[in-house]
Amino acid sequence: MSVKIMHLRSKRGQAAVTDALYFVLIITSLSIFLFGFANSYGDNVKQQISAESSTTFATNSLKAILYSSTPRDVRTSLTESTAEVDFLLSIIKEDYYDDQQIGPDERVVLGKAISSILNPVQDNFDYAFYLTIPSEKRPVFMYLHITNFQRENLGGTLRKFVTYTPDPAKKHVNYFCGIDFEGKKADYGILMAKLSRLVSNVGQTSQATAKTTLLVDDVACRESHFCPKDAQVDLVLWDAAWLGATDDRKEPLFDSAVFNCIEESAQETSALAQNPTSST
Amino acid sequence: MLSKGFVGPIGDDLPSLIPLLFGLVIFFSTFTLAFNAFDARNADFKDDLAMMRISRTLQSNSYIYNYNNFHSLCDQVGPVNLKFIAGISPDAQESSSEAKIDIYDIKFFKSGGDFFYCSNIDPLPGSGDELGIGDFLSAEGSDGKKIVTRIFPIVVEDNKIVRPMHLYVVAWK
Repeated sequence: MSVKIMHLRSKRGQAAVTDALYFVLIITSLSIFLFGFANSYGDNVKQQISAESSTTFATNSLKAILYSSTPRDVRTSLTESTAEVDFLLSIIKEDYYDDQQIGPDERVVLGKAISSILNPVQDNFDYAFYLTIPSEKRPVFMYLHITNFQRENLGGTLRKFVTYTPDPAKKHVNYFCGIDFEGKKADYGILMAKLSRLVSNVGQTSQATAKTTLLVDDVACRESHFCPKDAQVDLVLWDAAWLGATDDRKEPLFDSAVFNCIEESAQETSALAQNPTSST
Repeated sequence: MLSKGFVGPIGDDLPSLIPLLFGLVIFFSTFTLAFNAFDARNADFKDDLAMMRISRTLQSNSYIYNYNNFHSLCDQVGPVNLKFIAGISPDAQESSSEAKIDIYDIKFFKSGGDFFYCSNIDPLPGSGDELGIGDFLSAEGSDGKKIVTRIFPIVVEDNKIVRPMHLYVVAWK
């Protein structure tokens, strides 16, 4: 009898150690879960706050562009007291009214206004600003700010290493797109499809949209000579990214030739050359 | 008579107490760490919300029609648990596309002798004729502080011209 009790006592000690080890196992699992939860706590809220901030920025930018005044002459600035100033949207509407085109000088004025308003984010974000007639699927004005990345292949035997760095000589390029020039006519259907592809593939975007009305000189219209056309203004911002071709993406997201683009600097130079003294 | 190796009821359980205590230490350490992380994140959220409240109030509908309008918006901000300086800078109407922004160099827009700024602190001594963010917060003074900056495009009506500008909101604890 006493031998049996001794045997049971030694077994009880082993059982206690096993219980304790199970306890440690459970505690460790709980701790890992708690640690993981604590680490990811609030990440979604942080993302929401960041997204809200970006969207507010895009909305405010669009409002500022549409509300603001601007000098009618590309050579002057708003700070000059002698500058002839008008609402930016008035200049666009006035120019669009006669030939349903935005002229080179007006393009430069609008481009300058957009880039100066979005100046604080120009290093981090690329953006597209476009004015379209939705019923005709036709862009009236399209302005793109693209970071001028250079792709460098670092090689490697097992893995390919590629770096993308902005060109120090020219970090950004601004384009006016969808323009008929040098005999090349812009195909609006293709252009809008390419733009949709670009916006869908650049990652997370912050977008703001506004409705406006453009006027067209059309005698057939009920409001004779002032025929209204519903237009839409869009501003899309995204984290600056490489838009060219990659190993996985054979066709680039953006190609200035396909988008029928002119560089803003070239447009500005030609606008000044065509109209050196008089205001627009 | 006790058998060899038997050291009593507690002595027998002694080896099992080691993993037990180890488990308790792990649990309470993780628990404390998690609660500290929650507290820190919650404090960050409170600061973010305060920042959003200041920004939203001052932005209003992105159209400031005169100094009194901005001043009344500033009054609506009320008490916040952060030190902040918010001001409207005219840089959007004169900056070139390649201009770099240093928040300490930002100067506030002045119209009719009034600077468009809103803050719950006083300017540092020795501020000149121009007032800017650097007059409230210096680069040296911001060492070790967590500073949050937000920029919003805004328009200000001045002398019948609607000028595009930027609203800068800088907050710290």
